[in-house]
Amino acid sequence: MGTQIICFSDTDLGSFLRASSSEALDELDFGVIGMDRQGVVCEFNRYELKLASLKRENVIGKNFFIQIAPCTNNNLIAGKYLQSAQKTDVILDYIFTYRIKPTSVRLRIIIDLNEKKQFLLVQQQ
Amino acid sequence: MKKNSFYLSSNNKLSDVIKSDLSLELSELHDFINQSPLGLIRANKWGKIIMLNAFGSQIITPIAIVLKQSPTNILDIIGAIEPELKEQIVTYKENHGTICDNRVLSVNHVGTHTLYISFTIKKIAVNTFLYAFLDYTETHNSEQEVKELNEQSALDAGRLEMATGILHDIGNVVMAFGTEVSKLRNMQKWTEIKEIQKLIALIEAKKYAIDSSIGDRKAEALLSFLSAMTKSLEQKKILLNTAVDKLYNTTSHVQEILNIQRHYVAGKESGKRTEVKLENLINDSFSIQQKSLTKRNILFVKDIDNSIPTIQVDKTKLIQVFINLLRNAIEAFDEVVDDRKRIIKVMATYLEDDRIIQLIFIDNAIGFDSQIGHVLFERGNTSKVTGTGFGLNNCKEIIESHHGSITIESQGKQLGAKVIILFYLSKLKNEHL
Repeated sequence: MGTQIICFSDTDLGSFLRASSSEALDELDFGVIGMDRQGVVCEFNRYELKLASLKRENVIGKNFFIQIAPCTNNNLIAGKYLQSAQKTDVILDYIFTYRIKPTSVRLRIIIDLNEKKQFLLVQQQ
Repeated sequence: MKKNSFYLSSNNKLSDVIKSDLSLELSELHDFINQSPLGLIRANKWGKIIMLNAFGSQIITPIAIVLKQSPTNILDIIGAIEPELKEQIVTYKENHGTICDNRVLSVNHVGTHTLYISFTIKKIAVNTFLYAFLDYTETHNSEQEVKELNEQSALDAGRLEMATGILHDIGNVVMAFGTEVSKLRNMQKWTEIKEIQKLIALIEAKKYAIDSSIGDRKAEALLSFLSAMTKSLEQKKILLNTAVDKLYNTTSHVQEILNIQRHYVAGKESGKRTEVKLENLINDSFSIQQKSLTKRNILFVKDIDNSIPTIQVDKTKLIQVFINLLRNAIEAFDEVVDDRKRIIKVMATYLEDDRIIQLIFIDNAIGFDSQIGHVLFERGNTSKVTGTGFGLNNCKEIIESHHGSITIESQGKQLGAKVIILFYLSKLKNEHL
């Protein structure tokens, strides 16, 4: 990757994330959650682990919308993610409840139905 | 580290252990509150959200976005939904207390449906408010459905009561009319004819005496006149007797129909499932439609399998279906212009292995385009010129409420129609099976 600086709002970020190792994702300064189409977590980068005060072994293999962040289990987030029938790259503002503290975040949902791994990105506002 | 142990190793300070335990408990408490299946918000008096659990964000954040309000200020969100409640919260004077308890607010969720959120709001300190809430939409909708069903039941009961009253009143009038017809029938002795015949016999016996006293051939003329009068009276007798008999039979038929109808509405039975023989319902439907069948010269054929068990049905509803199907078949002959032999056949068989009763109404009347059979059960669709399209739709609803199915088919115009009803006994409560 060299000295390339990756930003939350970069275009074609999905291709970069899919090509990156877990270690590379840990270097990013925004949260990266990699999931399958059902929301089962396969990537959870260091930034997001720290923000949510979670350990990697406690999140991998779990359903993000139900077991990790139930605050997103509604039509706005989980619905958009799970029911997306086409390639999606959308940014929206939301409130996360890390340690029951309301935290304004910007979310980016990146879905490519041809790929196994999909992403939810989190940037603290 | 051994938790909660009285004996501590020399490397562990008591304060560190307590700190660690408290930290763990706090973390567990956070998880407990965060995962609680009830939206919880702690906010200050200006509505700024200080604490929010996952379920709370799950419900309130989309609402704030739809209402274009800040998702971090609960007073702004509530104010956009119900300004009076916001005013109530802002002006609450006590230091502690309940501001509202399970108050349901409706939110028009743009583009989808109305959400109903039940709020309980408490002031727990001078500057601190607790908002507990949950999505009440499903419960609200279920309650609405139950309410509508109750209203419909009340309406049905009212209609039934009215129908019973009307049947009773009509029954009384028909009974009085029937009594008069019976009297009229019994009055038809026509003794006048017999008296005239006696007079004819007398004149014949005294013919010569009469001729000699009042004039030649006068007795013959008198006999001719009286014979003509007798003949005329005999003709009138036949005509009147036929008319009175018809009147009597029609009145009896009306009384029979009223008795059947009274039987079906007696005790406001609609909705009640009772054990019935399908054949009895078919016979009653036939009796009610008998006049129409006779008037149109339609032969009614019945072929009912004796092995069909009795079934638990709402007989008031089911007879509506049978009467409707028979009426449809009868009226379908009104469009037939040729002189075909008109037949309506009702067949019922029991498919024992599958525990299915199959009931078929088949006619050789006008029929319909073979492509439209499947849409005839939709509300508002009909193949009849004067039909409203509600009859078959009601039939379908009633049959389906008995876990049955109903289909209608025709090979085409002029080729008759066939209605097939299936009752699945495994789905119907039946104590005899």
